[in-house]
Amino acid sequence: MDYLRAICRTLHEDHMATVRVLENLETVLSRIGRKTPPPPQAPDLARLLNDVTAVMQSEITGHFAFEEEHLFPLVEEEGESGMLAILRDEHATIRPLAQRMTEAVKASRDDGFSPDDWAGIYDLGLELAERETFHIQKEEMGFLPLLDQIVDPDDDGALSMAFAEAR
Amino acid sequence: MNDPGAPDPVPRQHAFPGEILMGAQSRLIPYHIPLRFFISAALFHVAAWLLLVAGYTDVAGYSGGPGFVLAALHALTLGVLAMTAMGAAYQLLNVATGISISMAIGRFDVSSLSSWFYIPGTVLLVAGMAEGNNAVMLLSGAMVVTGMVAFAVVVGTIFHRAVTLKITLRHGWAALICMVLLASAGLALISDLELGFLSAAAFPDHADLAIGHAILGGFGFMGLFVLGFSYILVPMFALSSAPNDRHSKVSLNLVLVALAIAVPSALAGNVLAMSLAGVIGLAGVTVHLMLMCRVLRDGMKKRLGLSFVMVRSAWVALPLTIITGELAAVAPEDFNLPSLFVFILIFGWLLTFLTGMLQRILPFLTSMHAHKLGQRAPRLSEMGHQKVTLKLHAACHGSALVLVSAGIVTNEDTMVLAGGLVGSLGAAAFLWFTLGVGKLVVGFHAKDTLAKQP
Repeated sequence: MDYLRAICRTLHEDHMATVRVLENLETVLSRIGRKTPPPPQAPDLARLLNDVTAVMQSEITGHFAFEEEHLFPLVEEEGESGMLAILRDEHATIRPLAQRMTEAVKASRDDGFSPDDWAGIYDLGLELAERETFHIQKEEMGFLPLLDQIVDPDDDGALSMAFAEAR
Repeated sequence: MNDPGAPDPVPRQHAFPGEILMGAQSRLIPYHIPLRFFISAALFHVAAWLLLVAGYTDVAGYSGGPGFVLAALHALTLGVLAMTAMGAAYQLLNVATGISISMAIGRFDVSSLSSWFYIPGTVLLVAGMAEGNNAVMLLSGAMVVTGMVAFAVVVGTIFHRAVTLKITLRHGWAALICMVLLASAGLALISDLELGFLSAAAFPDHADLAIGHAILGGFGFMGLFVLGFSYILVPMFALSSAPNDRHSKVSLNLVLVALAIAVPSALAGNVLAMSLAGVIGLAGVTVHLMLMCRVLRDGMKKRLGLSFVMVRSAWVALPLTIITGELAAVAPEDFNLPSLFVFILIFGWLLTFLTGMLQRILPFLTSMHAHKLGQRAPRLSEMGHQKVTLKLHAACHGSALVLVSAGIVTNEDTMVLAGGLVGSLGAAAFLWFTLGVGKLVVGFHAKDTLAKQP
């Protein structure tokens, strides 16, 4: 997708990175399955889970907060409050999921995976991946194209700087 | 925020077709309108396979005429394919083009009105065809055409007013023209059963008109809708840019030239011209498929799930359909090729594509309705018992296609019967999915109504 404004391109790249990690997570979880926990020393899985928690922490703290504080008000001025209600609602759903995932992964680092822990991570991971990907789909479908039209070129640089700081 | 002195932004070459979320909630039409089309389509889906089962001894060597096979074909084409296209077009065009249409005749909404004629009309027509009752076929044919006219008025108005999604609109206009020709040919074919006027010298032969009718329906009306909507839906689900308009136009022009040659040459029984049309059509769909593959390659989402297994399978069936059609025109006596051609065209390409897309569209719309009502939407993958229903449907659908095709080629009626039964089971699973998702939407609205009561 070819966005004119740097802030849209940066958010789009952020989305691409997030989707890539979450699709990896879906692939790996589907391969391992829910019933049998993976061996405690599985470096690839540990790396992936760390990537997921890092990406999602950055998403819910930096990305979401920046959008809500700096970008949603711009879109609100255009009268697109219906779309923003969906996006805010989804932020509110995804935040606790990402938080729980971070905590579950952290606990598994110390204690390994019991069958119940693994089933929890499995369910949480798939739900998080699905909800976050669907959320990104909506932002790419409506929010970024609109933002690309309404952000003034003079404000584009300042917004990009603010986003870099927020992350 | 916009500086009046700033230059206008340069329009993007590859606009993202999914810029549809802007104001999408306000453009959701009443849920019961698309839902009645989708549920009817799911019911006709089961009926079509069961009718195929009922007429299994006539499938392989079918050469026209009333009975279970004709009824099965129309349960699928009118009952499933066109029905789904109508439900999807009413909702998706409103949202995707940003044109909200609410047309009414007196107190009656035209979209609703179309369903009142079209759905019972199709039920009666299919029953009339199964029974071979000409009077019922004529009456119900008129009802179906009335429903189609209402559909054409609503959709044509949106096409006329819309300024975006030009390539989809061009496909849409061409599809509507084909629909008019298709309906006229259909009514002429039904009337001929009673009056026998097609034997006169001024008219094409009944069998030739039936071939023209099939081409107009499969490749014209439905085919063009499928190709046109693909330019919105595939990039939307893959999170990708739309293909270059110029390339899409090349594909459309080739397909239109192919249709313009194929239909008159079918009416005239000109095999050479039909073969030429097939080659041009094949070139057109090759361009289309290359564009679709590029969309998937460039898309952000790579894991597209079971629905895109269906869509990709349909893309394999599309050129296969044209090649089979070519062979059927050249050697109609061999391997029951005409029957195989019709079967792959409607059960293989079109049905596989539509069920693949519908399993994405239904949960998506349900989620939008939940948001509109301020309710938390369930996960898309949790709607309609997908882990059972859609997997069962895909497995049965694929097996049924292979079994029936093999049965047609080898003249083995028992294989057709087995395929029909497996297909019926798959269609029942898809109905279970559709009802499950439909129940959710109805539940959201019931909850909302309850909450608003004093």
